[in-house]
Amino acid sequence: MSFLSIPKDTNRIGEFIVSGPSLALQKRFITHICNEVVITNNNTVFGRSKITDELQLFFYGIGEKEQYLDFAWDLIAPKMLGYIIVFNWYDGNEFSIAQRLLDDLSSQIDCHGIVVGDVSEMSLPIDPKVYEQGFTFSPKLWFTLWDSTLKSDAKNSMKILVDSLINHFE
Amino acid sequence: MSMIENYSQINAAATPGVQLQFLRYLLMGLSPAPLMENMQVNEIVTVYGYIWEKALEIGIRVKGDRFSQSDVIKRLKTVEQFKLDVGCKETGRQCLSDECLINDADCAKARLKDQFNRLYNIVSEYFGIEFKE
Repeated sequence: MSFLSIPKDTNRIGEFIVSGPSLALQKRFITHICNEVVITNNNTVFGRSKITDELQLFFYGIGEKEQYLDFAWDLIAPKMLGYIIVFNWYDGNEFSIAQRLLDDLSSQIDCHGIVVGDVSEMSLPIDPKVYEQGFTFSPKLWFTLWDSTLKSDAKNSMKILVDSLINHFE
Repeated sequence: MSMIENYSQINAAATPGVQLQFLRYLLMGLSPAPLMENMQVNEIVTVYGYIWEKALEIGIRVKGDRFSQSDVIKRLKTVEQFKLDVGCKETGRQCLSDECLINDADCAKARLKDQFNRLYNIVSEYFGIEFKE
């Protein structure tokens, strides 16, 4: 089929999960990336970013409630393009939760992901060029830091994740 | 535990969560020694390999063309010096051999802790932050 024969109104959707110990941080990340953001009744966040008329990216911030997390992962994980784990870099409890989540996901899902530590509470006394390119854990798993008050930092995290996806095109 | 079972554990990979924790300490100028207390030596070896790569990446990002891997190596303790310090009678030039990991895990762990601290100290200097041992 020639690409010219694809109907103009065909909707193609790429889905990402935004997870982590704090719903507020999930929401902040999604708000920076998306044109439309909705808080659902289940205390989760949904965001939509329109790339073209035919292509949209959906972001699901799946909240903090454990009973809902399993359901959300089961529903979205099989078809997602990647996941983003956000947490407060300076909070030991949040770090432990993010760490466990990362280990669980990396052992159960073969998917691209990025862990993003929020340093907005106190700027890290190192040059941002050290971490803004990200660090790998494995070819599909990345880490970076962001100031969650900055839209550009959220976009940079997504850029690293999308680059990772592109680098694995077959 | 049989020798074969021991060997099969030597290359046990550290999880991304463990890698993240060591990276966090590296970026905050903290000694990773407390993280190693409850870890198996074979796991520490794999984390060392990971952190070594990240330290080089950081060196290149901070210093650019002025970065030299040999400058980092010069500041790590040599095998000969470590063996002299601990009174090691092993005749081979290698340190942290598979035999050491199995038969003298405490010595191997001490060697790794020392190298980790030296490496973290170097990276803290790149950042211009105080290294907290």
